[in-house]
Amino acid sequence: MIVVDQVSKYFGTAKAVDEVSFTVAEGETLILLGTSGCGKTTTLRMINRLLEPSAGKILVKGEPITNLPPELLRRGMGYVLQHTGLFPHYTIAENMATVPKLLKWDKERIRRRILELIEKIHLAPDLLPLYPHQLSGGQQQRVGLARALMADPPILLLDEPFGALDPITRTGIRQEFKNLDELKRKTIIMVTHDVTEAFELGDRICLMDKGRIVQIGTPAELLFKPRNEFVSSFLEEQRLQLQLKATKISDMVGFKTESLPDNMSLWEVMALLLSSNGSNISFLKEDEKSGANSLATWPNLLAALPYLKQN
Amino acid sequence: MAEATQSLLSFVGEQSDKLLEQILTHIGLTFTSLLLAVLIGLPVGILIAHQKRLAGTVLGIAGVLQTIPSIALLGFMIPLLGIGAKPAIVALFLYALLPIIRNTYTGITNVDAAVQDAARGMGLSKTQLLTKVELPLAMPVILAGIRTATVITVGVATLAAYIAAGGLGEFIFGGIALNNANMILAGAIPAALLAIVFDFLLARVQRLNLRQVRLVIGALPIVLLLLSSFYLVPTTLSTKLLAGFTPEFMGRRDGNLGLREVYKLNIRTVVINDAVMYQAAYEEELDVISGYSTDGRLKAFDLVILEDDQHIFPPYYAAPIIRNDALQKFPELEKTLNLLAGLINDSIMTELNYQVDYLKLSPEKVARKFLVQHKLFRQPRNGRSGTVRLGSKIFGEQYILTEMYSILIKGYTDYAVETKTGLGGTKICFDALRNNQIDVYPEYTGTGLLVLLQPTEKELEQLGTDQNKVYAFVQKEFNRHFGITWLRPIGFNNAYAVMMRRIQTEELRIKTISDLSTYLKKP
Repeated sequence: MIVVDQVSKYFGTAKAVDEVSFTVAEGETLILLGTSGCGKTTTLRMINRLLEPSAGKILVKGEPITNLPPELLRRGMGYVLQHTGLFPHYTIAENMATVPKLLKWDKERIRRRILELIEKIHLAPDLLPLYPHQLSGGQQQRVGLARALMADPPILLLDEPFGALDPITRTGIRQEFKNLDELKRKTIIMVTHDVTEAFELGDRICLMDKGRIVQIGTPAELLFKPRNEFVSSFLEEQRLQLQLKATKISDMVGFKTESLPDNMSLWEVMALLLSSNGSNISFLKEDEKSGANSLATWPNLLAALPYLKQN
Repeated sequence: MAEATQSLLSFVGEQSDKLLEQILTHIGLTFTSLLLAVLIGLPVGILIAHQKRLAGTVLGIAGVLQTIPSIALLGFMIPLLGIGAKPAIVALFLYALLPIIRNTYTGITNVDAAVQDAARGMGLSKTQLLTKVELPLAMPVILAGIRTATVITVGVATLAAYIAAGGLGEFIFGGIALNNANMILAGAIPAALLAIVFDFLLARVQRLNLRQVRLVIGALPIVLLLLSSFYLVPTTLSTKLLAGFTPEFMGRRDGNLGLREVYKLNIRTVVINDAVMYQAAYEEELDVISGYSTDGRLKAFDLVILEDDQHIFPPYYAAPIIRNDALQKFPELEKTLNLLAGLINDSIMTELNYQVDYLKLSPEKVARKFLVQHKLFRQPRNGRSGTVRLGSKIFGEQYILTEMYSILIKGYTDYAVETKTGLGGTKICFDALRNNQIDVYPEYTGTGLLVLLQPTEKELEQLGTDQNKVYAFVQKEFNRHFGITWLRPIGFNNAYAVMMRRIQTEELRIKTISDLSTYLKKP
């Protein structure tokens, strides 16, 4: 869907992005992860041509993005920023109608689409005639996302979309975001510096440093097969949590459980345990030699984690 | 003087036609300039907001324009654009430019970067970004700039009266020249009210919410155009010839009032500063001007004086006037100042003025050369027994006389001299004398009579245009009313005069003011 090929960007002599290449498949969510100044936002902004690459090329659906005028290209890509960028002089409804108006939709179609989306993002329709400053930060961020989704673009570019929110609001919106069916079909590139967020939302993660890609792969690959010291140290602080999140039940060779779906992460299992006192959840440990099953304990499970690296 | 006192209201009542005309002209001038400034300033502001490299240069130039004193800017315009509305509008336009450019620039650059980013990211074109996002968000700041520009322009537009562009400055400067407080107020109060009203209205516009602002943006050009067109209203009436008179001449009995009453002269007149009047006549922008009979520029610009065949201009013999207490304080002074008495006749004074006004010699040089020729020059004694303060009005002849007196006092007495030249008009000069800010200045008998004493019709009739009677009258009355003494006349008679280009008088066969009046009455 999106191919970034040997793309560099210089500001003067400084290399902000240095020969970056990756592809994003249709329907995939790729996270550009890294510290501030690593070139992740610059990379994102080159995809919708808010910046022009100094070298290299970018293809969308097999076509160089320079084939289209930038305005038309951008209308096919939703764009959400950290500071929402809602127009302060437009109402919520007018803000959401921006792109459809550019695409010359008729009024009725716009109205129906607004009502459809506002419900999906769990906002009350009576917010529509208000101005952005009358909404809370979380509400504004939802509207920003809804505005980007209005014309149902196949591609979504997200630049720290939850960056300006407090941790509690943030976790909540992230959950909603994950479950939003509008997003399931979309090809998404999202920039974040938040490791947890990256692991929760990304199909693949592209870890960047100093304008270069350090490692690109699934969350589990980054965790268990870090390419170098930088990758493992970047993830170190939340390692246990990340491991639990990145590990599905099905990943746990030698363990099984009957009452839970295979693709549930260990983290989710723990959450479940907490809420239900763990009374009816149990893992069975298969003995390697005899093949006999015995009841597994959490220490058994955690001890097994490091060995996943090899698989 | 008492009989001349009238209330402001009755003055306004009498002059309501003129006042209305001046207000319309004033609004017209203000808003034509403002419209131009918005038309130019807004795009320039938008340009430099997007091409930041240019911003420093453009704002710098506009800033420098702003610092030029307004009267000087008007002066610069005359050689380029002549007199009248054109140079006034250009000058006012230049003044209004800076606040509009600067606020447009600031307004747009201060639009939240995230908002601009989001707009571009969603696929708004540059034009859409400007019209849908940048301009609406910058509008309150831009309106504040227009508001500042409006207030500045309303104020500066009063100066337009100096170069025959009309407006409320006509009353203000006329009033200052004629010692008529009601006239000053009749100009100043409406000018201040205009500034306050427009400021208030624009402040209201600024406070409207963003949606209403969209409406206002649509209406603004129309309102500006409408108000600009006010300027055209008064100019619809015109006659064959155009006269330019100084504010002082406009309101004097021995000026435009006399011309209308006695000669029944019916000519379209504009008010103009005497510094540019002669040049304007020479360049055929004006046909008839008021002037002084000894003015050096008569010779320079080949103008002739129309004969005052009905004798409305009383004699204007120049003589130093001095406060009586200063005479006592400086006992040597009277004798010294009288050294010039009877020494300079009309043609000598014209020649001296010519050297200053046209040959651009310094008044100091001309004065010294004259005194050397007449063997009156003495080296300064650098005395220290008190300082005599000399005043002068703001034209060449007064500068020359003041320089002569200065040299004489320094050479013949032990007093030091301080000169305060360029006091704006008769009223300012005379008030300075009475309030003990200067001790002596050269005044003219006619001015003393008509402007400062303002006698009754009957007294005037008795005096007629007899030189000696007028001198005796002002001598006596000044002493009685003000405690001021007229020293002996210098000799020349710098009367008011009506002038035209020599060539035109020959073509039209006009020799006297009556001829002019007859010519104008012909269909």
